[in-house]
Amino acid sequence: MPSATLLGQALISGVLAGGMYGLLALGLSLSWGLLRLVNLSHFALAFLAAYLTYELGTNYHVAPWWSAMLIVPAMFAMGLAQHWIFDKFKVNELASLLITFSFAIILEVAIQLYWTADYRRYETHYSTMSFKVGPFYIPVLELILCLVAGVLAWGTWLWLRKTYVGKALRAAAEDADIAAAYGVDHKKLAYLLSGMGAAYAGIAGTFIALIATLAPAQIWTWLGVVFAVVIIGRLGNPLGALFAGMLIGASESIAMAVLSPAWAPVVSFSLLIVILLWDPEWL
Amino acid sequence: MSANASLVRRARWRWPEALVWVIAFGLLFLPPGKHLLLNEIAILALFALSLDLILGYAGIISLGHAAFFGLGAYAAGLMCKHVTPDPLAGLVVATLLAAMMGLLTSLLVLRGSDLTRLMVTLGVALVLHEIANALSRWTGGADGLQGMVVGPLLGRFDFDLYGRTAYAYSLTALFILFLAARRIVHSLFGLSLMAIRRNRLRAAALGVPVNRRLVAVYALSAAYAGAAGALLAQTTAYVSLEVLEFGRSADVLLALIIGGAGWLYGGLAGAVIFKVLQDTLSAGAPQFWMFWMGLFLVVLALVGRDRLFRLVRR
Repeated sequence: MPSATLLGQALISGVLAGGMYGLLALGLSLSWGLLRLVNLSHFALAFLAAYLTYELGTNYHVAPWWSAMLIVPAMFAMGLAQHWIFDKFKVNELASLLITFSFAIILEVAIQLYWTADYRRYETHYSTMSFKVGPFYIPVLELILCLVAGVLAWGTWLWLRKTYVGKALRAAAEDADIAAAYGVDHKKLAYLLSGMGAAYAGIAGTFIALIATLAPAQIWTWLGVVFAVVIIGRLGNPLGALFAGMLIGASESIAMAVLSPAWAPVVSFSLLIVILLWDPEWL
Repeated sequence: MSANASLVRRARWRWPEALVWVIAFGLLFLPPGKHLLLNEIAILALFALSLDLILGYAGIISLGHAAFFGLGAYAAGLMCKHVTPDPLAGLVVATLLAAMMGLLTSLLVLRGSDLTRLMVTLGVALVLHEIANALSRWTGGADGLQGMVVGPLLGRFDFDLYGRTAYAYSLTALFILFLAARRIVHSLFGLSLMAIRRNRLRAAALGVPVNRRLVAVYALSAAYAGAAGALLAQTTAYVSLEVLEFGRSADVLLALIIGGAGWLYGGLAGAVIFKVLQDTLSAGAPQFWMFWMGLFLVVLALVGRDRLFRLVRR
């Protein structure tokens, strides 16, 4: 059994690393829960944003927060464009899975053509910064990521609960026809939400560039975990997605410390399967 | 027309069907060179056939069918290394193990809605992948299971370098299992499955034991997938973690969608098209194969998606 300090450190790093899962899950959960579209290209968009951040940062020396100002609106536009296709062809849940899977493949190929399949690393001095609280180290970048994810999740949650637009969106997700009868313009709202989801992918991408080493095939590495996070956090619930992300991050990290690193990836899906067994209507 | 008569009519053999198999077996006499590819096609066809049994006939969509394929592959590999080099024994054991796994996981998969199911199938495959990775003492982990020496088929035919024996072996297995599948889907059992796919509630009201039927067909499909995995392991004398990866589940789904689910030959046609395209397009640059595949899928899903989604109850 590892020492208490090691366990505590594992817990802290896990929760902070889980912020990334939560951030990625946020946009996915919104489009899946409220639009009934499963958006696999979310990951590809996030990586595209990460590569753009890397490109602007390394070759043009643009600081990541400035490039985010450019990239996030661009991603919003891509979200709109993607939804235009869905809207045009009246895509349902399962077809959306297939189509966005293809979009992801095409984006992966595009990334590979431009940046090649080599590993890329965006070197910044803040990627290794950390401070000490008691016996524990806290990485600054991951902490910022968690704060951003927290603000976004909380803001989105409030937006969905309190504002007219948010309420209309939830009503339309519940029953589009009845909502339309009450004057909810579901189509416009769907565009807004798709754009937002893609913009969140852009924000996640900025952090991916700073934290991870980039390679085109990495697009698929988080697919399983983030899907599990989306479902455990319940579809369409931004705060749930964030908490589920941190929960999974923490359990993975603890599993890594207590058992062995090889068992960490099993944790998320075992948790998901247990939840679905316990309550099959969880989705 | 009575149900029986319509079943008999649909189960009748027609000449194009016979022609397909005559050609497939005729390719055995091709000069050496293409048999390795043909072997891969036969294996993918069997795998797609297994997916067709649940997708096309029972309306269960799976994102993790590689779970059974991989289990079969590892079972065959370990049998060969530790028990007996005889390929047929390995094939039988792998098939049975995969069927048992199918029975076991059907308890998970049959709960909840379509989407729950999708995630659970994906999850089972991912968990198996990680378990195989973690048990590297047995599976070789990321290095793969090496040192398989597969014995001669039926004690007489050695697996050669050109893959002719391999193709003959895989094709025969495919043919036999295809005949069995054909018989099954044209039976009353198959008819009740289709009733479930179209309208689960109504089928239950008509007295079809819905859950029992779904469990049975899921286990059957798992067994087929396990057999396909075993064939791959034995004919290539190697098993890597790749047999359990998401990409493999996606590939087989694509192959089946290309060929069309729900008529048994869809998996076969899809496997041929998929592998031949892959072989030609990736000869230049592997990325372009992926690109065309992606583009093709978009078009298929947008324009011709009724072919798939008519089948999946929504």
